[in-house]
Amino acid sequence: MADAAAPHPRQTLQRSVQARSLADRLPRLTLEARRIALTTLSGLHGRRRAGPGESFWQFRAFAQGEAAQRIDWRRSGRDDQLFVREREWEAAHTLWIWIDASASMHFRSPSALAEKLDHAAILGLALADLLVRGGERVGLWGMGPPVSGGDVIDRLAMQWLAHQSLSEQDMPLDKPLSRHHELILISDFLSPLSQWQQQIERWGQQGGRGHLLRIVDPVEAAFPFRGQSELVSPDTEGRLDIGDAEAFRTLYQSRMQAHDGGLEAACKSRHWSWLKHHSDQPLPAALLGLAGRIIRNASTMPANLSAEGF
Amino acid sequence: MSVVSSLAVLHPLLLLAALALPLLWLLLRVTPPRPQTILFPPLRLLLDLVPAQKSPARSPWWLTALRILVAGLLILAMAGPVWRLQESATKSLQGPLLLMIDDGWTSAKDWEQRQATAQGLIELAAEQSRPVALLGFSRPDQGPVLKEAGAALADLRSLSPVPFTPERAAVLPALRAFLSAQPAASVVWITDGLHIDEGREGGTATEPFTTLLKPLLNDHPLDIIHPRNAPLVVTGRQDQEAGLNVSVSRGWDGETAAFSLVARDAKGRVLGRADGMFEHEDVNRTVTLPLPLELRQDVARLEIEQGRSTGSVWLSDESQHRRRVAVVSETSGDASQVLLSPLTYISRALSPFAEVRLSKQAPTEAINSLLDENPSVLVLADIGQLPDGAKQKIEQFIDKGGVVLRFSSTGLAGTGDDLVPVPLRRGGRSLGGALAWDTPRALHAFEADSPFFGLKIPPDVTINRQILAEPGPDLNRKVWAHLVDGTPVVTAQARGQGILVLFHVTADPLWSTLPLSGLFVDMLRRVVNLSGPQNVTRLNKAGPQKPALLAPVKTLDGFGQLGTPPATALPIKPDTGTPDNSLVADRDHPAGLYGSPDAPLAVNVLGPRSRMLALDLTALPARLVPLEIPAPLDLRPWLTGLAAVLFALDSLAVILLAGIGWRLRPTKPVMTALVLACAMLVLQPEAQADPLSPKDTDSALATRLAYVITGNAGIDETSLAGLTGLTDYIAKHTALEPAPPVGVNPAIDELGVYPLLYWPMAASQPVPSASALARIDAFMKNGGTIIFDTRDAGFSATAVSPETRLLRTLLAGMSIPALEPVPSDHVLTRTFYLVDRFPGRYADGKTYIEALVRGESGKSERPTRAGDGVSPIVITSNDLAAAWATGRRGEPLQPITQTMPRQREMALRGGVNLVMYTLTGNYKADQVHVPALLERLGQ
Repeated sequence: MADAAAPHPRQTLQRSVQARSLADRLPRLTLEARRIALTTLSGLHGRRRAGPGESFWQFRAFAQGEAAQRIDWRRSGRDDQLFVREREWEAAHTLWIWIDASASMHFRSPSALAEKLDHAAILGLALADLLVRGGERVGLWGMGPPVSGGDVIDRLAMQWLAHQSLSEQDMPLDKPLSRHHELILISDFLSPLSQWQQQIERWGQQGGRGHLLRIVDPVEAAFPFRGQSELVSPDTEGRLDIGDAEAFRTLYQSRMQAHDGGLEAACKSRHWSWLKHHSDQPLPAALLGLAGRIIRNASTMPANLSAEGF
Repeated sequence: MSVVSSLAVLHPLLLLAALALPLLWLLLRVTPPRPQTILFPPLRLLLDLVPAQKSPARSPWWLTALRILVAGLLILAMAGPVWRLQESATKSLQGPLLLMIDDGWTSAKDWEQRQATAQGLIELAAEQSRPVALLGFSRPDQGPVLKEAGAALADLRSLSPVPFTPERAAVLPALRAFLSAQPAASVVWITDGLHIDEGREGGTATEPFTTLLKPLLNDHPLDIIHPRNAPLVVTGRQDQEAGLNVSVSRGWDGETAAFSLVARDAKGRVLGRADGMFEHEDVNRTVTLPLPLELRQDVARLEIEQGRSTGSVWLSDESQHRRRVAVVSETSGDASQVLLSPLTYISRALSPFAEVRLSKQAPTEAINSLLDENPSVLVLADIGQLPDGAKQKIEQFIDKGGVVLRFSSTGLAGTGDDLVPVPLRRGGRSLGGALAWDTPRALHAFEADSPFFGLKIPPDVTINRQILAEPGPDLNRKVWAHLVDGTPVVTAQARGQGILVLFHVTADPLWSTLPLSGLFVDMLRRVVNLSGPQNVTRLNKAGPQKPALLAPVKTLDGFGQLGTPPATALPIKPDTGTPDNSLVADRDHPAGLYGSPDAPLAVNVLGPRSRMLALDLTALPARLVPLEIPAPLDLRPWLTGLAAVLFALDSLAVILLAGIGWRLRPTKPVMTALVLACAMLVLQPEAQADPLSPKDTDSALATRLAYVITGNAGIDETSLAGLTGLTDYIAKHTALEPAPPVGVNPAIDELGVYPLLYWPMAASQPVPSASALARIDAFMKNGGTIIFDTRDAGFSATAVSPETRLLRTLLAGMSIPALEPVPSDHVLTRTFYLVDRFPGRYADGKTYIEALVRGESGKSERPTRAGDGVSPIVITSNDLAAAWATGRRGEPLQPITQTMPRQREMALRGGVNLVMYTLTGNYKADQVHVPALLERLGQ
């Protein structure tokens, strides 16, 4: 809670944002993202992977030195030769990630583990790394061409730095999302609901698909304030005298439920996925959940859409 | 009468804090509680929301007013307001004011109050420009004169309680003159409320002053300022078998009053104390001081501690003492014919006022043994011929100031000895016998120079038979009583410092009816009262004919303090005719001691016939005003309590307001300040005991030896090394493992935590301060033991070493028990080792310890003796520490005189015994019986 004697909280926040610019925090965030990605990768390895790579491509002759497990005994039993069943090597899918770095993402309450932006950046970069390792091509939305190999996290971070101002917008760049591209939006989604609904609808009509990861600070969820309070926004000049905060809580929570519900409905109507992450909860779980949804989304893709890609 | 009230403030400067109240108003009123500011990102989505409830911009005015009130009350309470309720007597009185003040000793108890009241009246009169006349009853010669207030105040200050009872009626003429001259005058009488009737002989019963005053008053308004409680007065003492009965009285009943009576001797030392209590309706109480007769003789003063007047002190002189009278008779063993024995009549007559000592032995032995009891009077009842040895003893007794009262007997009439005041004619004479012509003779009235003067002679006292005195030139001077025909019946002679009195009749009723009469009792009482130095001296020097004038030695003032007599005090005639030698103080003879300083005559304000009564004021058309001003009411607790209640109300209001949604947040500092202020007022500072220093605490937790730091570094090092060596030795050889020794400074350190102090005398050491000595004394009294070591056994035996001199100075002011060199059977020699000496660096110095009480046989059967406790003091000159001192490796540090074998070892053993003795006391003395007990158990 803000102290009455301290300078205005908005100024404090702006100052800290300036001091800890993206360039300052990116090295740390990339490191963290790499660590999270690695731990999550090992978690994904143990799973039975389902996906486009599972489908049959061709049989080829077994070459000396290959692992014996790869031999397809059913096919080999019908012939004198040993065959290996090769899976289809799918063309790489392109995923775009948008990480919201607007002023409201710099918020952090005492009970949160880190700023919302930190969570968003780590999750986004780690997800990119995971996806590239899975053979996808990943890029930052509106910031350059997707990358498909190499040091993904570093390269994306460099891109991000170059287009820093772009990420500080409240809304992602409104450009067409082509078919077979997926857009992963990591934000607190605190812009008015109508804007998002229109944006999602627009992209959905263009055939693109997407995932929304909403980062929520614990304070924003619980609204634990008491007593006479005045709310101040970090990005706009607005302030709101809410009187007794306890009395205001229910009002606030119903409003936020409506907001979330609207976003979720917009996602559902376009088969987008929707996930919430609280910034006081550990990151790997959120990353696993997000990655799982992306993969599942691919597998449950309507057949016509899937076929069109190849 | 009107009521004047006033509000006073003890710390007025604190009221300045009230100036800050408007500031508080501003703080509470102008700046409402400020809402907290919350940085909240989702605000963008909420801007259109309207909060359901909003806080009022300002707290309600009544809440602010309440808080201001609380703060104001607290400030007022801290300033210490006091509410005085004063009743002023004479607001309504008009005209010149006559102020009559009782200034006898009876007013001394609350004299300041009386003076303050009088001063208030005078000042009031001054405000109204009324002249004031002051009348003190002790100064009838200074009639009331109207004066300015200033002059009247000066008069008032010159008044002071007088150590005698003023005669109120004496002022009547002056009063009459004044009142008739000032018809408009109003009268205020500040009275003591007592009427004392001294019952002077010859004086008619005086009419009470009030009845005499009434006709004088006419239309003059009269206010009487009357005290609520009467002073406590000692009215007399009686010696009884059980103790000294002291009667205490007060003029009228009233509040329950506890008092304590203290008996002091001539030097002011307390001999005894008794507590008494006046219940509501009590006017007289008798308190018994259970003192033995010997102590009772020393009682010179009886004081009521709570009293503060001449009357609360009772001076005693010799004549009031209960005397011991030894009675010797030839027939002392004969108890069969009681009514024929003179002992019966003598002891019956004496017992009301004297302690009678009888002996069953034969006269010679009886006289010897009874005289050993130091009687004041020796009565020889029917001894005709005194044995030679006894006679010499009696003569010595008389020479040293004794009174010998001798009665006639047939033996004395026949072959009497010469221990008689006048030569006797042998054979005696009988009057009114069956064969005689003449009738039994009556006693002649006592002459003025006789000690019996004033006694009334009952007509039925007749003398049948008597021994006649040989006529001589000085016979008349020796006669104290004679018959109507002039033959002496009682003769007396001063011998040495004593008196020899002879009754020419027997003490049984065979010769006369005198022993059957009350006169006999009175005569004996007077004779017995003659004993005592001052009476005898007076008799001897001037003879009974010329009673000496006794100059005042010390007199009491009105407040009961003994002091030098005032210039106006005149010498007193001891026997001016009042019976029983009792004198009553008057103007010229204030209460006090007269005569010789050694055996003075006591004069008190109340005589045996004095009666103290409450003044009857009902006859007077007067208004009664209480003297006592009610105690001022301290308003602090009330104000604080009120503030606390209001504060609780405020809290309640805040809770209620918050409950209905107004979240009032009084800033925390204000609340804290209020709470603290309340706490400060409620909590009184508590006296705290001095905390022990860490050093003392350590010592209290472990047994350790200690030495007194002398300031001489060498000696202190030796002490430390010595005690360290002894500590090591004790730890090695006994079950006791003392902590390392420490040095203490008796002026600073707590001594009570050490069982044993070693104190080497250093000549350079300054004598400790009186307070330090008192602490040392207390240490020894409370069970501690100090070993004083003068370290001078090698010093010349004849001269006194500086160390010994210092020790003498040290111990001069302390109560030190009797000491003796440690006897061979003292428990100290057996507490751990069997030792017979306590050597140190020297082996030939003696060790002194508290002397043990020896049994009757002088040498008891028991192998070991011990007192009840541990000797508080051990004095040695052997320089123990030097022999005990060992270095870190156990090597001896100081040379010793090798006068006895293994002296160092023996010194350590002696030290072990000393330590064990202080720690275990007489335990070892009991242990010697263990073998016997075990043996008995075995059987």
